[in-house]
Amino acid sequence: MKDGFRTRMSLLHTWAGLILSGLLFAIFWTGTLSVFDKEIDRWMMPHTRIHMDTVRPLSVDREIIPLLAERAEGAKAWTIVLPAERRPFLTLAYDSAKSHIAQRNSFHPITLEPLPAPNTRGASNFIYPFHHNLTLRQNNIGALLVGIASMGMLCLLISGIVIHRRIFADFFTLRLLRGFGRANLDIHNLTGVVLLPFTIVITLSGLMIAHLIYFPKAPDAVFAQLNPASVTQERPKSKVREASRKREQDVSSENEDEITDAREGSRNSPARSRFIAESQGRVRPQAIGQPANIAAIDPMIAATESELGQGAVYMIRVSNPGDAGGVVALRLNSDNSVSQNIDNRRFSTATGEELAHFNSSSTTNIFNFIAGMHYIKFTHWPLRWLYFIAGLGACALIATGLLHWTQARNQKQGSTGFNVSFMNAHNIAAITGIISATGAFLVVNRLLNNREQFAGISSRDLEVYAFFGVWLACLLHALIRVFINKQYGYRKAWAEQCWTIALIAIAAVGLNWITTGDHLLKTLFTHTYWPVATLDLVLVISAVMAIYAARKLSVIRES
Amino acid sequence: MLKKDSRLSHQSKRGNQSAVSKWLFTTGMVAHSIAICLLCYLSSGQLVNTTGALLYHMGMPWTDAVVVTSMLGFIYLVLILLWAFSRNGVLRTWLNVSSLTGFSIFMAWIIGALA
Repeated sequence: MKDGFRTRMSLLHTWAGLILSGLLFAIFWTGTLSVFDKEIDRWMMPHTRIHMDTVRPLSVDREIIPLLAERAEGAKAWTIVLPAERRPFLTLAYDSAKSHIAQRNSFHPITLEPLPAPNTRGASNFIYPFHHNLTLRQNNIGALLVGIASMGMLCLLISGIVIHRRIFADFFTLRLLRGFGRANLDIHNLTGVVLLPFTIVITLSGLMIAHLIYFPKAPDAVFAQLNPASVTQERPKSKVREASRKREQDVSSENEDEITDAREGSRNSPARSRFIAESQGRVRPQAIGQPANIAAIDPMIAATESELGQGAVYMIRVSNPGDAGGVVALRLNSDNSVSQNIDNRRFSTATGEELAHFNSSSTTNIFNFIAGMHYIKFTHWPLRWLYFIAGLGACALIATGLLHWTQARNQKQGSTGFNVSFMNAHNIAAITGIISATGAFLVVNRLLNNREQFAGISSRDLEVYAFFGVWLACLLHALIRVFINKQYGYRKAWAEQCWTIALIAIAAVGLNWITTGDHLLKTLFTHTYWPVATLDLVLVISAVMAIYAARKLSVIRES
Repeated sequence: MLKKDSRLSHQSKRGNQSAVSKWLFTTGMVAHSIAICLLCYLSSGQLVNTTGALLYHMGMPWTDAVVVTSMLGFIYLVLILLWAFSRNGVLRTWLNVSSLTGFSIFMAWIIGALA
């Protein structure tokens, strides 16, 4: 038999799809939710539902430095994250003489009263990390799994184009009423073709931003050309160096930590450290041991914003405050550009004099553009929604691909072997399972209602246990249903899990109303607060869609 | 031999195999695929190192060379993977991918020795 190129690409498409699609669906689903991670945070942290319309600009010297002076005595570094539209509160982070682990406190942007500690990870500390490392941080195992899945996705996309004979004809073909199998394949083809630029760009950019994890030896190999002796100079990892690195990371902001973690993983060679310092301007100023007063920071911000525009500074980092060698670094936001802004402005803490500031090279700016396309730091709501819709479309592409394989085999009477039954259960757990798990994460958050702990377990952990527990329960439920009735059990499992999604979504909206008083009519009309209203609306729409799907599946089952 | 290998890839379609031989075939193909993927990753890693060094010697600042070569690395890897899995037959795949890996290691070694 002639074994053509297209046939082999078809085999690759099938096998890579079967093996990786479950993981890919989880990555794309959490990535899609991460587009609105800060908004989900507002829903999960009711005390941070603050209207930014009434917030005036804060004076760092008059209002923030006194707060730090009374709380952060002896700290080696202060980090001030100013309130912004998507993060409407002031965050201060600082270490202490007793512990290098940074304390992070949030303050109301008007009253400057401390906000209650958020006893939840929220979306930005659970859903977003799950997207890029599956919360498996040890030795970057999670990031490597995500990398393997992403590389598989690229192979799937390219092999999909190769095996697709009628790529242009199918672009205009959507036969939703011609039976489930036909409609499913048409949706797979249509989302595959229409979203091809998005899926390729988002997958490739996701890999490229973590290049130091996937090609860890590249800086060493190039640095060896510059400094051949460096190859033999690699220092062993010492506890002191690790502690110093941890200290540096701990005092930076939450978001910075996550991005650093996503990009670099957990180990740095001297060449990698130098690469990060030189290409991204991340240098650690050393104290010189001479006490000095802190110069006024407001004029530094005013000078920077007069050059770059109002609100250009989003974060202030003061290294070695009270030391003559201290440095104030002003980090610039990326609100108005796709490209991620890593340039900064530096001033002497003691004199207020402007120091040489970091400007990234043209090549690094290309990298920053690619990273910016993935991180979506810009403020542009329609574009953010397009990302969300395209992300859901990519989830649909993966889900329909999985269903296509099992659907074709389920239709053959009496052919449901172990592999088909296993894939049926796998699909149900991978698709409806993770959606139910996400809903459970929200429901448990509202049930705990910012309680510090419940039954001796911290609320932050309980929410995560609920997520994984419900996901596991969905898998077990699917396995039981599918293996009890190999012929039609999968339909029952799909229908029941759709009902579960609907129930969880309605419960989440109801619990949000009961525990905070923020019902949909209030957040939409009387006291409009879009982040909470939108999430409630999305939950209601999800419930309606899940009920529709469950009813459809029940009708098919009964007929 | 190559013809034999190409026939091997169609064995799974035959219905007259015992369950044990089907499982053995599947396990073998999985092991083969994983090994090929690892070799592809190894060769793309070596090509990344080589390209980075070459770019640096062509006058690019070293940090820029690292950024460019790392970004190119993913393009290398996906192309090598697609090329490897488009080979006809297991033996031919191994021959081609092993040759590429050997070549890329040799190139990286030469470039390293020039430093």
